[in-house]
Amino acid sequence: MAVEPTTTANADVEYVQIEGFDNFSKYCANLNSTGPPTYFYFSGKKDDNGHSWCPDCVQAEPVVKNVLNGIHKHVVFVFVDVGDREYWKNPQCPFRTDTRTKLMVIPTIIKWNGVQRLEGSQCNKAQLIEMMFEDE
Amino acid sequence: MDLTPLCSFPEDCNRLNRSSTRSDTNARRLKPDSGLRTKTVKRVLSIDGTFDYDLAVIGGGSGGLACAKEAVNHGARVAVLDYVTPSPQGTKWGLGGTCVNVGCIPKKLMHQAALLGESIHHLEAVSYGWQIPDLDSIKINWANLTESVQNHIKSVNWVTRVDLRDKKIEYINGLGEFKDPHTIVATLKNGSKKELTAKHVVLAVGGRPNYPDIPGAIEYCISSDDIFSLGHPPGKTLVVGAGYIGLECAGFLNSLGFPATVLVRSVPLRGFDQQMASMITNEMEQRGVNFEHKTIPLSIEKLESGKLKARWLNTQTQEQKEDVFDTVLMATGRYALTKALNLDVAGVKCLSETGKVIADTEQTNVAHIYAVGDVLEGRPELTPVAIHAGRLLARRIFADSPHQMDYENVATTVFTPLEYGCVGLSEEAAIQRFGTENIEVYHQFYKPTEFFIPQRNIRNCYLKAVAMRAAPQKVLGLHFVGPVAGEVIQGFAAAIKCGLTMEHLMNTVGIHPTVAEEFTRLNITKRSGKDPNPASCCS
Repeated sequence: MAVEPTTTANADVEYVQIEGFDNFSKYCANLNSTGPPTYFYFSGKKDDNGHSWCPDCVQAEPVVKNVLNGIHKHVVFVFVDVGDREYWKNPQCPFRTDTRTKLMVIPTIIKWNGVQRLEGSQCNKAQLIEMMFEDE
Repeated sequence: MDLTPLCSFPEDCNRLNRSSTRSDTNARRLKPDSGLRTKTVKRVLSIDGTFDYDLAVIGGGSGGLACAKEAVNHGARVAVLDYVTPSPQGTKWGLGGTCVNVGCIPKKLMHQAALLGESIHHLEAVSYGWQIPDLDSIKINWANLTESVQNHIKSVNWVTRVDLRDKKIEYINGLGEFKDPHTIVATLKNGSKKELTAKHVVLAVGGRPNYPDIPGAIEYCISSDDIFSLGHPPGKTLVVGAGYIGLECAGFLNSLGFPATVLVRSVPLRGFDQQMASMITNEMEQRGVNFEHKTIPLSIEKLESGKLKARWLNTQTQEQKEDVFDTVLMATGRYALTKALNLDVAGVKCLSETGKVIADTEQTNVAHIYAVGDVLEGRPELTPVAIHAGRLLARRIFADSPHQMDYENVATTVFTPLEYGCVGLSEEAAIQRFGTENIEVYHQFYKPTEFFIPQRNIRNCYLKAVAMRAAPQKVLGLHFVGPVAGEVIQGFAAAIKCGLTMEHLMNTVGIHPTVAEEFTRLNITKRSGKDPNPASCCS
């Protein structure tokens, strides 16, 4: 399981990287409701140059990272690599069918155990991403 | 530079101890001169007469949001204020208004839950061949139902907030009131205040449930504000009130397995076609809902057991009766939330006795202050009406549109277990307007195809068309009691807008087998005295 917390400019946000559905499932199984608010960012797999095949994901990621740099509370932000294009395009892709995610588009950002969700081009709007972290 | 000679509110500049929260980039205000130490943020009319916002909408429900979103489409800078004062039982909810949170949406979901239960329990599934091993063990889990409903509502609240942010509409979660005709003060949850000025203001504050003035009402009873998130199964329930809210609630509660009694003060569904209303209540009675007609509640008492003892009076026989319930739900009408607005200060004087705003074209006596939705006097209290009127209003204000809202022939549906859909005039209203001799009523009982196998009750499956008697017999109203009544009636609302006549209707070929096709088969008039009971199918 590739869970590597990375340190960044903002010490309040705990970053996690996950690859693939199995690892995602295992990670979720270990989540408990008393922990810090946890967010998942689903995007397409990156190649060796760190470039995703999904153009919308490429566009959104710097915007998301920029917003995260301004977050000053303890949250966990999990970057989930859903896989390559063929895997994602398959209607039976588990990220699409699983009731916890029910992804219809990537990138998607969801708050775990919450209703907050942003999809597609919503993910490259800073003012909307900020809303994900606002109190209910 | 001393601007006080130009400022309209010089006296306000001396009040320094208000705290307020800052709105950010949308503010256009004069900087106070150096003599004033301001922690407070004061909104002032700037000297050239511009305001913080082109439009402030008070109320983030169906009407308010539609108006706000349409206004930004035409370039307006808009703020929406929304605030939910907790119900007497402490229930509150998020952005979106009554429909989304405690009205149409959760109601329809619970109605659907009830119908699903009926399809199992009224021997429907079994009669069609489904094998259900232990029918009695199939019960509703109230906690699961309310959790699913509330999750859906919360996701709608979220999507609504995202939409406003995306459209750059400022959302202020505060209770708004007027300070002067162009200045609104919003009181936020933490008590702090935020002031804003707006060129135009739309009142879209809607309404809340009335509680009768009897002992125990506020202390022990719930309303539609509370039922959809009730933290425990309602159990045996008394519903006070037989308007559509009371009947819909009693209907789904009963179908979900919670015995229901309804206190009817005068008649059920007052204002609706009374023949159709009695079909609805007959059906509910046949399904086990208990009706106490011509009664008013006297008192609600809490017993040691925690249950509620309700006492009521039959106004005809003067007999008093009482019974013990787990829950008492007040559905005795709704009142408009105009009092909290401090409308006097804004100069708005066009209120009815009940506090609603009288505004035929949604414009009050103050030219820049408008009203839309349930807060309006004499208009249907329906979400699509508020939405449509809100949009048209925004277009008139910001896009020079001439179009006014047409409040005539608005279709509606009562989602009782057997639904009632209608559009246009009731039979009584048609007779009153045109006289019995000038009206023709076509009617028919019918048998939905799907009802045969489970032998479901068809005694209340009925429809009628109220039309002008003279050819081509323009249709004035259509009324339908049966399954999926809303789906049946919607298309006919468009037909009526096109000037539907009985000639058109009778020349329309039906879709078979449906219940909607019964409208195309209407041919028996009340006047003829012929038997309107269903003959055989397909003839």
